[in-house]
Amino acid sequence: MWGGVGMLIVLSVLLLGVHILEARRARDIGLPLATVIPDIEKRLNIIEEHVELARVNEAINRGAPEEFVHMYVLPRDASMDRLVSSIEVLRDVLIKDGKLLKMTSIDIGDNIVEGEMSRWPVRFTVNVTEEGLRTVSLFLGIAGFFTVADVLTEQEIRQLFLYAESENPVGIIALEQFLSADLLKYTVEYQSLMDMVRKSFVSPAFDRLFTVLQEDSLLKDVRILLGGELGERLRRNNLWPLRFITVDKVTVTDGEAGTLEAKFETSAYSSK
Amino acid sequence: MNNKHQYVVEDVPSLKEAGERLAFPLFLFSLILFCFLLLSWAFLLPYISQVHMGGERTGVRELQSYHRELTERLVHAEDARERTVLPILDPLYLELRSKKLAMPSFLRVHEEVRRIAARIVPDIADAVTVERLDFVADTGALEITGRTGHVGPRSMTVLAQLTDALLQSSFIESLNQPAFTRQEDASGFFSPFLIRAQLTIPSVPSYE
Repeated sequence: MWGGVGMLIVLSVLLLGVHILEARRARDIGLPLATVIPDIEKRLNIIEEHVELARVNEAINRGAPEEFVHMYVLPRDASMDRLVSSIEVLRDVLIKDGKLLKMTSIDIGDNIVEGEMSRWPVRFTVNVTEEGLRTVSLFLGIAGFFTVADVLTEQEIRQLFLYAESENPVGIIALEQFLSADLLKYTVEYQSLMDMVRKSFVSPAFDRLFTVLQEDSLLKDVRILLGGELGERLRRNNLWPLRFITVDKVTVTDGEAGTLEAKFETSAYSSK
Repeated sequence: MNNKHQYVVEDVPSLKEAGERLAFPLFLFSLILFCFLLLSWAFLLPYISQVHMGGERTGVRELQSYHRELTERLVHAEDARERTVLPILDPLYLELRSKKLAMPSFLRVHEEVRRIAARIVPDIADAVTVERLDFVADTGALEITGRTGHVGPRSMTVLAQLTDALLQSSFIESLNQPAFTRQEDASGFFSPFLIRAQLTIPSVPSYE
């Protein structure tokens, strides 16, 4: 009999422990989850709605940027005429502005095949003012980037989306149009693109973020570089978008009369 | 009359007898307690440990698995949105774009070096002269050649200040200390230098 009593007491204590654990789980895990889940559901619905809207928009507008990339940014052929012409336009504009004094010939080396792409070493040396060096570096820095989204980092794009989610989920269309705007169009129609996005998101917080983004990201450099005659001449000569170029090596030495001699070793890319 | 109290001495039960008498009630008590707790565990506990969410009662385990599922769906949806909103999805283009954004920017490096050199001795414009800058993007290697001077016998101190300022800047990961020497020419004391530095590689997440 006593053995049975002992066993029943032990089992009762265990069951009591289970009750306490379950109550704690409900308090420590269940209640916080119950408050968080509705927010996640709401956010998920908004993002899924964004994806749907973006897909509809994509079906209408997609295609053109991809085609430009295949034709001009990463062309399949080895022709360098557009690349040389675009550097020539840069040279002419800089000479006209008094920012470039001398430029050597553009040397293009043999192509190097790397997986799905080919790379051509492109070298040239310029005698420039400080401002001229800045312009040449900016030109090479954005060469190959085509749309606004291309020059923004993932964090910058995510921040824009977070505001879109909380403020106006339907505004994703305006945001997408802004992100997919061609950089040359962005510099020309800067104000109207900004107004289009601002109409969809009216809060001061978004306005602040959007303004900071225009000033602190590569977008500011793009406006400085393409906003003047250089952008206009690239557009007029049908040289936009630029060939994809990376800067591999730069040597800058002090030149005569406060100028700088900059030797650029870059790579121009093609798809195979 | 005999007033003397008479005490009837009864037998005091032994422990064993007491145990035998108590055993059954205790057994009954523990049996009933166990049955109640068992019933509570089976029927009451699942009900009272549920939480209200959206007008419905849900168990904690269901809530946890639903939360996991929602989080996974959210991550996928965010990825899908980023991919859909990026106008160009060519894999080669995305690879090169990520590579280019992850490279240190020559322009930023050049401007930062010039800015730091100018602010070491703000009153003397040519206290630090950068004569040559060699920048290699792939390896993030930077070589700065120049001289410090026009500061009297302090040229080596100014050079030390320059290396300290470069080390403190966000774009330089590390540098080899230059040889500290002081020479003299017609313009006075000067310290030529060659600083080899390793640049910080910016971290840019890939869309691939």
